[in-house]
Amino acid sequence: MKRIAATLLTAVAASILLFLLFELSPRSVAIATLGPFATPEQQTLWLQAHGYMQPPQVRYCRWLGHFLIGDFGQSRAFAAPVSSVLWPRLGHSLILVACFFAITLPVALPLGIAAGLREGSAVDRIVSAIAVATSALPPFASAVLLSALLVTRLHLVPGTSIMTEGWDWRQVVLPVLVLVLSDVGYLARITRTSMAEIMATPYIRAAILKGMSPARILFRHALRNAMITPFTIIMLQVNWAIGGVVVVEAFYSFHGIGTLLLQAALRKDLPLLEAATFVLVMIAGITQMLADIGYAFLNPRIRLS
Amino acid sequence: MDIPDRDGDTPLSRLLSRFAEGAVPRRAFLRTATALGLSASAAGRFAGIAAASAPSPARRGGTLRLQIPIWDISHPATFEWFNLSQMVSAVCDWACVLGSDGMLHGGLLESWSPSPDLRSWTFRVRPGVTWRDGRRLIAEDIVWNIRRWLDPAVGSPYIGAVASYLTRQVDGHVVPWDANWIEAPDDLTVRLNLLRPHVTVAEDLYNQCTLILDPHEDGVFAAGSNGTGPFDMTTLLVGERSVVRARAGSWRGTPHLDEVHFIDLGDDRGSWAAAMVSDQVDGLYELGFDQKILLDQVPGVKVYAAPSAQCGVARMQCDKKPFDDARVRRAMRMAVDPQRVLALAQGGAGMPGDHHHVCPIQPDYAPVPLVTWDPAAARRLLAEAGHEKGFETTLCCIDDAGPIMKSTTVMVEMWRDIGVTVNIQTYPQELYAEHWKEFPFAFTMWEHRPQGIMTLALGYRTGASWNESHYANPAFDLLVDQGMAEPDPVARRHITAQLEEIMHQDGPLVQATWVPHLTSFSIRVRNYRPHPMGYIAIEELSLDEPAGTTGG
Repeated sequence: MKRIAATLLTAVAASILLFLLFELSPRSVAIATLGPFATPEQQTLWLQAHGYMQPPQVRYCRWLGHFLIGDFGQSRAFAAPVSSVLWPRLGHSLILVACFFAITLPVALPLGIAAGLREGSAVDRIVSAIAVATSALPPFASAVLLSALLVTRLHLVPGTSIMTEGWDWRQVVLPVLVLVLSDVGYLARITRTSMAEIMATPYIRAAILKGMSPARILFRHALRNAMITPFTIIMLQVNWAIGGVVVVEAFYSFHGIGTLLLQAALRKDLPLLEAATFVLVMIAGITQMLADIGYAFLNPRIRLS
Repeated sequence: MDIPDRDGDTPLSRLLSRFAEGAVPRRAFLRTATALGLSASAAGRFAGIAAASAPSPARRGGTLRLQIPIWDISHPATFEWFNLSQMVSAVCDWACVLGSDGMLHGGLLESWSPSPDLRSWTFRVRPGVTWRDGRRLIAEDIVWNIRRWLDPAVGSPYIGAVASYLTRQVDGHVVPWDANWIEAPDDLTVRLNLLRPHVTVAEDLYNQCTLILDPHEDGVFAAGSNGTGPFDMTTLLVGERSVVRARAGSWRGTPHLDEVHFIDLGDDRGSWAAAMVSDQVDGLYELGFDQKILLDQVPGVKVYAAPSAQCGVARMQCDKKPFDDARVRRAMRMAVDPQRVLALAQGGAGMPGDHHHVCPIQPDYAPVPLVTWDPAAARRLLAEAGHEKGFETTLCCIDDAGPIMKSTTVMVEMWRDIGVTVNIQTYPQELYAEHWKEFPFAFTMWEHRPQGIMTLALGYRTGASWNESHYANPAFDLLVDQGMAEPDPVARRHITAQLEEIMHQDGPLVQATWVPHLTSFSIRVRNYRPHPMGYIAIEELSLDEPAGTTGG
């Protein structure tokens, strides 16, 4: 309950910050909406018509009220209600994230665990080498390489993710592959390090000396503790994968929320910018709340403290 | 229009007579004659050109998928870029149309003729044209649109093109110069009465912002809007896609295609080429030089390069230091080698420029001695102007990750050779478009116009609305006015030669190259004709076979 309250408090704080950033100066809102060549009279008329002559606290309450009922206003760049643009884009991004984690987690976690269990072994060295190589390759470079290979040379998958004929799984292959390539090594290394640390702790050594089976040591004692750091990274990556993969989205013309945010910023589309930012802040708050719950599950001492 | 009597006293009669005497080159004749009202077919007959062969037999049906940026197109009268008009032009029509042959053709205005003094232009509305809702197109529909373009509250760029002959300033406000500046004497006649003689009146009606909309819709365009064109727009999702569906009964005939899907592939040009390679689109509205290199090697894809007068101009504001000194502006020109810029920035595609913004493909182009690339002389000029050690400045431009960035980067290195350090400040396109007239030194892309003098009048005449360089030269203005009133293309070319010389000596710009309009289509797409302004006549296109589904 306390965590839910904290998340709501974060949302309110974020909304105040957003309002101060975008809406505190009505004149700049009018200029952004009407363009730089609108006369002061036109700006004043627009401000009066849209209630911008009221005190800031009144405007904030009205603005927040509209947000809470999902009325984000009209997008200037897309000439449509913000909600009709925002929610489909968010849906696309969530599917991308789901596909990304569906591949990354089953690959990165076992590899990291296998490497961390026997630090310095051949498995560890191979996993570490692959992990360093993949995480050193930035997404824009792997996107070019994969497109050159899979699209231009082999004609295996479509080159863009435009989805004009409806949802097409083949069009998600490349963006997901690029994200997986850029992240799987990083997550595997984090998991490996965490696992290696846990395996060096006295209680694990005691378990080994007691003659406990490796499987029992791993699943009963080591794994849960070793997962705290990777879990933190994974929860942070949810936010990154939803709103921060602009390069990948732009490269493949994927209509996600990352490019939407960029377009809104470039076109000074304040209602869209506010709504997209607020939604991303809310997602960050929710993932943080889920992370807190996850920590408590992985390590009950966190809950007790 | 039939061929008029050569002995008459109209500008067209005089032109015919001069051409018959051999005093006017054929290309200049064709373009000027059609601008003055002679139909393209009659002009061709008079010039002894065989009628164009019929297009190859076209298969009916199919859906064309065309990449194009899909922005908000709800206010066509305010369009500032030609690509915005492409989708609307499927539904609505222009009054006059510049063809890919460089000649002006009738649109909703079937024919036109100027008075002998070029101060009154009478246009005949094409009879029998109906709006999709069944109403007959009448002259008042055209008049309503032209009046609206001239309303400053609408913000149409059309004002900039016609301000010199249709408007005057009253208390700082732009108003029509006379109460009777436009008339509709009957349902099929529109008349424009001008403040001063002008020859490009009909050509000015072919502009990105001059599509004729249904007056009943108050100038707002949306999916389902009424129009006179051969398609209906059924879907319009800004930033994503738009769909137009063929309809019967348009004066342009029934299109070969069933539907055209316009698809926005975002800002990354690399993804446009990728979509073409993987058969997700059948055509690209535009592509960059890097993508041309890739697509040239892809089987089943054809790249088209239309020679065009579009170009990037590094213009200097003449009222800001150090560019208020003509010697500095000349030095900046002399430091730039157009051939090297063409090779390095455009891979050799296009033509080298000559710093005067009149293109060799325009009928009024006059060859004048080129500005010589001479860094040593440029340094001496700078020293004379008090900049012995050069100076530092900032060039503002759009960050297009393509030709603009390449051209500016190459020129910056050349200016470094004369001691001028230029820092590049990039802006997103939308932000640049909002402030383009404010930057002291900036690189702006200019689109193709049928005549060079139209660009000079729009961009460099004192006080002109698009005069981003704040250039003010009474001698230049006088010559532009003379050129705009001169119907004889040869005489106008003499005037243009003087204008080009002025630009060389005193002008505010460095213009290193001409940029061709690059387009790409699948070889299944038939009857595409490259157009210097990028216009695609989609009703003429056909597909050899049904387009495949995505990918593969």
